[in-house]
Amino acid sequence: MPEIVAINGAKPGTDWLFAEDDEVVAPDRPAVFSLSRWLEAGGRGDAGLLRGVRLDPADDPALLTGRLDGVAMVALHFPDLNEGRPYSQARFLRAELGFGGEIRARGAVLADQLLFMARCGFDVFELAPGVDRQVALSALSAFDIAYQPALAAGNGDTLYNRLRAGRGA
Amino acid sequence: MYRYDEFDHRLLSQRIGQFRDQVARRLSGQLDEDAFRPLRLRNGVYLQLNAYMLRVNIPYGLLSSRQLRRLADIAERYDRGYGHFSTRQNIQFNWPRLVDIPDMLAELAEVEMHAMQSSGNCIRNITADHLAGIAADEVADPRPYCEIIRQWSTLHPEFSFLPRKFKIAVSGAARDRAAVHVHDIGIRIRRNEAGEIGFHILVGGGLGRTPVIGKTLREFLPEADLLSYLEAVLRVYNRYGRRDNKYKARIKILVNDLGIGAFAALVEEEWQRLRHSALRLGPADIERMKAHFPRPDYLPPVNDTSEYEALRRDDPAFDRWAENAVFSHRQPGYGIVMVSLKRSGRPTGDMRADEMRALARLAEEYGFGEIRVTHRQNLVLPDVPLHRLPSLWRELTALDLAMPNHGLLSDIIACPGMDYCALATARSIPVAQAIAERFDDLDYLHDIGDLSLNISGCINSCAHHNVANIGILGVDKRGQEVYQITLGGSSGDDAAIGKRIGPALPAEDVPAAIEGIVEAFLAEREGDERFIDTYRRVGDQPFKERVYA
Repeated sequence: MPEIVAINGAKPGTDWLFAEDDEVVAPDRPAVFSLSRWLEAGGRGDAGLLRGVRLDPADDPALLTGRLDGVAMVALHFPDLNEGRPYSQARFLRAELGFGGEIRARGAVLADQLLFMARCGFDVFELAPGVDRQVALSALSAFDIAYQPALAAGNGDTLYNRLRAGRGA
Repeated sequence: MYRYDEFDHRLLSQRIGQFRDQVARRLSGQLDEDAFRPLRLRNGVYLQLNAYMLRVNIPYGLLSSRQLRRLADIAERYDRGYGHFSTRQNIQFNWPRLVDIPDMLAELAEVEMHAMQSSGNCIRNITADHLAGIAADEVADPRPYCEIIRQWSTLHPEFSFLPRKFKIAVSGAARDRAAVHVHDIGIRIRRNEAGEIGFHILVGGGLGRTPVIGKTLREFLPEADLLSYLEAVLRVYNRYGRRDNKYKARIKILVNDLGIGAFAALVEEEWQRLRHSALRLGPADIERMKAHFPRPDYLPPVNDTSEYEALRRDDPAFDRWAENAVFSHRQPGYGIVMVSLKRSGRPTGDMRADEMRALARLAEEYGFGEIRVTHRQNLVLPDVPLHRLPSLWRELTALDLAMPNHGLLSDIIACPGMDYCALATARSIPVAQAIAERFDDLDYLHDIGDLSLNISGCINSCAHHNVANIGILGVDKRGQEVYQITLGGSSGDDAAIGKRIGPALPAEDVPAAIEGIVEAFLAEREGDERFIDTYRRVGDQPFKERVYA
C-alpha cells in the first residue's frame, strides 16, 4: 500500500482498483479506468458508483470535456521525476474544466516535487516507495509565497501584487 | 537597478532553506544522486570533472559594485580566488564544496543575487543587451520587461520540468546585441506607428548540435500581453516537446517538426484562453517596474577635454583604446567603456577576486557603481564622463584590463572545455590561448578588423562557435582531440550558421589554419570590408585552399 498524503481537505479513498483495460470490474467496486476505456464506455459513470480516470502524460485532458460527470478522481502518472506534462494536465482540469474532484499524483512522486504539483491543482499524492511521509509534509511547506498569480486571482489589482498573491493553486 | 522588496527576499530565503535541507538529505544518503540531480541543477549546481560548479545568475547582465565585491569575497572564501563569466550573463565558480553551497547562496542573497534556475530543464536566466538604458539606438529599455519575466518564470510550478532547458533573451535596441536569433525565445522591443510599445517574438533559435536561427512567431505583440503570450508558448512546448530523446527536446525541434504556422496556431489557441487572465500587464505594472531603472543623475558635459584630446594625439596606445573600447553613450559627455577579459595567458572570461574589487572601485569612482556583463564574456563600465577617460585608462592599464581587442580576432569566446567540463570532448582554453599568442600584434589585429572567433569543446556549443565568423569545434576522434573549423557564422541582425570547410585538424595545426584563413581574407578583401562580408562575397574556396594546401 503506498503512503498517501492529501491536502486542501481531500479525502482520498484507499481501496481504488486501478483497472487494466481488459480487467472485469464488479459494478460496486471503486475503480479507475484508462482514458481510452472511459471514453469507450461513453464517458460517464452510473449514478452512485465511484469512478476515476487515469491519464498518461501524452493523453489530452481536453478529451474529458463534458465527460467528468460521476468522476470522483483523476489520476495523473509520472513515469519519472523529470516528467513535466502532468503539471499542465492538472492545471487544465482545474482551470479550464473546473474539475473539483480529487487529482492524484502517481508514479515517481518524490517529496521535492510536491509543492509544484500542489500549485498546479493536485491534492492527493501517492508517494513513491522509500519517500518519508514527514519529509514530504515538510517539503510541502517549504514556501508560503509564489510569484505566479493564483488561479483564482481577483481583478483590479496590479499584476505586481497579483504576482505576489500567494500559493498560486 | 531592481531592488528586492520584502517578498523577493522572503522567497529567496525560503528557496535557500529548501536547498539546504536537500543538500543535507543528499549528504546523509537519504537522497540518491538521481533524485538529487534535478534539484541541484535548479539551484545552479553542476557536477564537473573535478568538483561541483556553481553558476550564479546576473539577470540581464547588470551588476552593482557591491555585488561584484561580494562575488570577489565568495571567490576567495569558497573557491580558488577567481570566477568565470559565461556567455549567458552568469558567473561560475569551479571549485566549491557541496556542503558550502547553501552558505554561498545565502551570502549572495544578502546582495540580491541568486542561482535559481541557472541550469536544469526550466526557464534559465533572462538575458539582455548589455547596453540597455545607455545605447544611442535604443527603442526602449529591456530591463523592466526582463525583470517582469524573471519573476513570472521563477519557480513557475507548471514549467519547472520542461522537456529541456529554455533560454529567453530581450533586446530593446535597433541593433541586436543579445543574440535573440539563437534563443528559444528572442524578444525585440518595437514601437508601432501609433508610438505604442510591443514585442517582435522569435521562437526556436538555438545552437547545440542542431543550430537553428529563430523564426518570427509574432510581429507585434502588445505590451500588455507579454506574460500571457509567453505562458501560452511554454504550455505548448511543455505539452508537445519531445521527451524521448534529449537531443531532440529543445523547442527548435518542435517548431521545425510542426512547422512555424502550425506551432503558431497552437500558441494562438492557448493564448486566446489566457489573454485576459491575471497575467495581463497594466500600465501601472510596467511603470512600477520602470521606476527601478531610472536614468542616473548625469552631469552636464565638461567642456575642457584638452587632456583627452592631447592624449589621443600623442599616445598611440590611448588613441587605440579610445577608438576600440569606448562606445558612444546616449548621454552627451559620457562614454561606454568595454573592459576586455581576453588577456594573453589568461583563460577567457576569468577574473580574479582582486581584479573584481579593483573594478568595483573604478565603477564607483568613474560611474554610478554599475558594471555590465556581456554575452561575449567581457565587462562594461557604462557611464564614464569623457574627460575622465585618460585617468580611467591608466588605472585599467595597470590592472591589465585595458586590452583594446573588443570585437577583434583575439576577443575569443571559449567554453571551459575538457579542462573543467564533464561534457566536453576536447580542450578549448589552450587552443584559444595558442591562437591569441599567434595574434598578439595589436596593429595586425586592428588591420584585420571586426572578426568573431569562438571555440566550443563539444557539440553542446556553449561558446556559440556556429554563429562565429570563424568557429572552432573540438571533438574526440578515436581518442584524439581534433578541431573542426566553420566559417561565415554571425549572431547579430544578419544571424547565420557557419559552414564547415573540411576535415578536422589536430590542436597544434589550428593556429596556423587560422593564420591561413586570415591571410586569405586579407588577400581577397576589398577596401575596408569586414571578414564576414568578404566571406559572403567570395565563398569558402579561397579559405579552404589555404587551410588544406
